[in-house]
Amino acid sequence: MRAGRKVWAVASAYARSIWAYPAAEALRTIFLVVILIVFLELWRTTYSTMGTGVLGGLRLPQMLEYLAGTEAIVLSAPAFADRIGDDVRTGGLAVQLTRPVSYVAFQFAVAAGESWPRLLLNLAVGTLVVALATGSMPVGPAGILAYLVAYVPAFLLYASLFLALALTSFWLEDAWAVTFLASRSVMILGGMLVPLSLFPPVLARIARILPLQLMVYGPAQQLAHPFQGFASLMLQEALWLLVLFSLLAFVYRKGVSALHVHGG
Amino acid sequence: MSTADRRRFWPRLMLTAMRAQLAYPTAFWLTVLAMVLNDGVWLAFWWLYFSRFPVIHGWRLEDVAALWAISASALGIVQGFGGNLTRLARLIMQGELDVYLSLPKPALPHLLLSRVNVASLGDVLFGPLVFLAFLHPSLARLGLFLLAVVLAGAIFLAFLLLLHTMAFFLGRADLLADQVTISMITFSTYPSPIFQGGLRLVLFTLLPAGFINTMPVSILRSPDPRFIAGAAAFALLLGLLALLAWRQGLRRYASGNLFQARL
Repeated sequence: MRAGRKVWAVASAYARSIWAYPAAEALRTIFLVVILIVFLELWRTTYSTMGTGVLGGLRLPQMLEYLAGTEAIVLSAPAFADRIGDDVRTGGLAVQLTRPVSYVAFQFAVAAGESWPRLLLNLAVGTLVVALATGSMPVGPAGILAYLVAYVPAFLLYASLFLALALTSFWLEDAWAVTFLASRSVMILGGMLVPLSLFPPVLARIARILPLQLMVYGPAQQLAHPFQGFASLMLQEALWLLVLFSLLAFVYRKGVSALHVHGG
Repeated sequence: MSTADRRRFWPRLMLTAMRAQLAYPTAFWLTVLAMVLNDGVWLAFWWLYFSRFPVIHGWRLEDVAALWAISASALGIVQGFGGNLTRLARLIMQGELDVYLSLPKPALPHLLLSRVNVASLGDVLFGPLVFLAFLHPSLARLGLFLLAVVLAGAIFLAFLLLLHTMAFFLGRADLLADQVTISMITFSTYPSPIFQGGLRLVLFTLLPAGFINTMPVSILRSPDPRFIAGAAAFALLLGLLALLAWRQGLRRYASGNLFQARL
């Protein structure tokens, strides 16, 4: 219980630090607006060229809201590799490991504190851009609720995988390349750029087996089709959480025993 | 210093910057490889897209591959060997130009060429690889490809320089410069025909990505002399504007109290 309060305190402190600089956070959303304008033009052209109103089960506003949802997730994702790499290189890890809260729990708390405010801001800005561009509200309260609920385990999945990869800094010193490649896999196989419903059948089958689509495609799809296949999505997320938590615990145990701290 | 020594200064400077990065060879090659794979992921996205929608306004997968080959090569060369270009706003803001201004070499090229951006070298590798693998290379097409890379590189260089020199006039312009840079790169890597109306006008003026994303068709597929002349004239004009902004900006530059040494 006390551990839970500490984690909450860390997360809320980091969340407050994000809200402390609203202008800087607002500037960060420029890229989101730009990419959504590009997607709007690309998909508007695609729908009109194909002469159809529905592609992959999505109408144009739903497609754009789906992409706003995927971009919101990816653009608010935690950057574990930089932080942990710095801790290892500078020796600051020696201090981090002596904190009265587990190192892994601390990293989760920091990630949650930074990611959630950004996710909410990105989703709001993205939805506003889509609404202005299409002239209609692309999502209702049910879609937003389903997206946010599905994002809770999706965030834990994302954080577990990327924290496990970032912890390879204990051996490699710099895990940037490893996490960078994983993030690029999320872009394609997670359905960030194209929904899985538009993938070629073989690739769609492969993507559906992997957990990457549960981190991005799963929640974002809820914006277009609220609570459709929701129980199955949550069950898959829960099962993969067990797998990735176990992986994370294994990597952390091995990493700490292999660690040599040089300074601090 | 003899004239020959003076001429050799710039290649030696670049070589030294490269050697500094090669001091960690594993990290160097991992970073280069990661960027090649990153660009490959974008091509994979377009493969996915065109496998479902084979032709969009006359553009096929091959045209987008050409777009990526041109823009990655051009941006890679500019950002890779001018490694301080996208850090310029920050350097101006923090008063870190002093060290370059106090040395007997032109400050701008000295500053730009003093750092190699390793990740961008992956782009430099990726562009020619795509050209050789997918774009039916021949001597004539190689000439056109190189022309496109030079023009796109000149536009990127001039635009980014102009953008970052805004830090002289606006102060904290680093975050804005980062966002506009990524926007320019984003618009440069999507097919030109999808952008219409007012947005198209913006892409040929304020954010000149329109010149770059038109190159696969107007230079590589069916060379259009009017387009080539227009792009060259625009690059020249933008370059002159950027140099003017740099010179005016230096007059306003207030040095920091940071003590630095260049060894």
